[in-house]
Amino acid sequence: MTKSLLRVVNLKKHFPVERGMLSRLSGWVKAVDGVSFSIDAGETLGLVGESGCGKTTLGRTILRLLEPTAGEIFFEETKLNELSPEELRQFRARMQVIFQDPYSSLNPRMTAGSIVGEPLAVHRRAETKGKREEMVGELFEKVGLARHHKNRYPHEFSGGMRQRIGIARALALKPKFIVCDEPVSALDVSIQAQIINLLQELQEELSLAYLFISHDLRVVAHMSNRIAVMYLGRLVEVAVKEELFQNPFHPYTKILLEAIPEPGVIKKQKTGLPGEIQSSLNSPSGCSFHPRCPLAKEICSREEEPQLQEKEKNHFVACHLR
Amino acid sequence: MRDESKNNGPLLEIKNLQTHFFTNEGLVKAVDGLDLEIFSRETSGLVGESGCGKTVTALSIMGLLPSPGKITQGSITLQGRDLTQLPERKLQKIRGKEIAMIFQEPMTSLNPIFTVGHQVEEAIIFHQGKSRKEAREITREMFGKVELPSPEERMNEYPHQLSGGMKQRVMIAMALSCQPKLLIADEPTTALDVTIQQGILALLNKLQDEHSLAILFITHDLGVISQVANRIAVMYAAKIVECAQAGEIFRNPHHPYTLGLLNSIPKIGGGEKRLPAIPGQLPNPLVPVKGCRFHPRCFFVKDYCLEKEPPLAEIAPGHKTACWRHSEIKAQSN
Repeated sequence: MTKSLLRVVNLKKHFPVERGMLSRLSGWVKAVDGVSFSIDAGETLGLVGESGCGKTTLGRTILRLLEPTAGEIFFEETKLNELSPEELRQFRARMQVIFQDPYSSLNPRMTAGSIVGEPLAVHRRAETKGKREEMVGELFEKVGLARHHKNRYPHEFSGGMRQRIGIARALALKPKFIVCDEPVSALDVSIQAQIINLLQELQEELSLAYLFISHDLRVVAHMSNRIAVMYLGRLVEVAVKEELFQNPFHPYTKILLEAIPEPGVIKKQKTGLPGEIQSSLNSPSGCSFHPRCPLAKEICSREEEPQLQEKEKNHFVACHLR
Repeated sequence: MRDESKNNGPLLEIKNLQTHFFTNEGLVKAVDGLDLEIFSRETSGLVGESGCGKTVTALSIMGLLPSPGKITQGSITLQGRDLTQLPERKLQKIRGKEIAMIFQEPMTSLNPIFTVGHQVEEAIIFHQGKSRKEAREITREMFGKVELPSPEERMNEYPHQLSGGMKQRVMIAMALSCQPKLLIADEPTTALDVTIQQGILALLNKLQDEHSLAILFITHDLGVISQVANRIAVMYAAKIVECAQAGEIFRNPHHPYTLGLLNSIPKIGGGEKRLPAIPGQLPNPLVPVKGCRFHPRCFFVKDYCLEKEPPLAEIAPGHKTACWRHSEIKAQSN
């Protein structure tokens, strides 16, 4: 087996829920509850799921922007959990993040140039200020902005151009891995395509690996090599893209795929999925999907939560019935 | 069915609508000469990107324009009455009763301190002069129609106790409780997950048949619109650039913007090739574009496109487009 760039083993992130004046602990939100996967260099793993399923928490926990409750994260075979803050800072240079909202993720008081230049300054990547300016200029050109945009403030840019600034900032330290957390969800369709193309071009040029998080299966399908489907804090299916679309095993994946409205294709009337995503505060017994699952049998509520198992080569699924 | 309703004329007809915002930075023509017809029992889709004037069009119909917005020209005719000329008092009777609207964010459309049942009852009491008891009866029936699970219990719940999808169902129940002729749905599923979205779209289609409703469905999502619309109008920079039957728009687009939008949507199983994106940015509404408003981003642009704005002209029965070079534009097979 080739060595993976990033490997996550049984990762958990639970948030305590406190009630009342004395902040008594009344329960845990299991936002990420035992997730394992790996990403190779230069690969894109797509992560899909509905709102509240834990996609964003997973992305942030991998980067240790949130401290994991349990589990291990390996980056280039170094275990990130045990690193000191100083060592972690060195690693952070190689793993970056692009956020969904290009409006709130850029400091409105900093110019675009200083936003992109800040990581270079923090990590002392340029000997002189002039050198740094030069590097910032190159980054601007790389993401399709003009050098003279450096002196403008975020509010002077449109959503798509702001997202380009966010991408330039993420690229500044020459990372190997980027968590893209819904990077195009806030953008208009015509601008969305530009940013998707930019992310793909950069990936080829710099052999980046992406964890591409989105609720939009069409976008994920376009970007990813492999896709992981998440439901209530767990991965329910992981497979190579083509395999997942042609041969989905998990009932939730099937329903998700059927629910995508295709332009110009009038689908037979479907009523969607019954019920709503459960609260991760009190997950149901057994398989967490069973209350909404059209195939659910007795075993699904009785038995333990099904584990992710390799049913076919490189095709993992967590379902009692498959 | 459609042709039959056409013979009776449109339910709502918008002619040369101009809605302008007189802002401190300058004049913004949010809607700049819009023509649209909406027929009974049909869903008309209005598609466009943010800032193109979709929502302002809806608010113009409702008479709910926020200041500094004003309708400066044109007419909006609902069965013989020009809504732009009616006094506010009369509009209030039409709004909610004959034309109802549902919004993108059901969270902010409901009052958090009243039960959802109470809020629907209020609308019924105001518009139909029913007693509280009768209104409660109608509300219960409507909650059943919009397929809310255990309607009786839901009526006594507050908005925060309901999920996004259920709140949108409450909004639909409220909108339809007075049997409106026209329902304006402004991005009703954009804030919802795909699986929940599918349920809401199916519900709207079902209710349309039951109530012989006309729906103006506003969205940025071409996938969503093809699930519900009979006719689709594509809007760009305050104007309609193309409109046709839904199937025709997808099979046979004749405006470069429509074509560009269709091509820039990633397709499942479409491989990893680059998306044919529309270059450039959305136009700044404060700076009007001379000539065709799409020309700065158009692949088909010619010198004359910079000079003169193309009219929305009929190029085939029921298919209108505003492009000088429409005959040269064809859908590429992907």
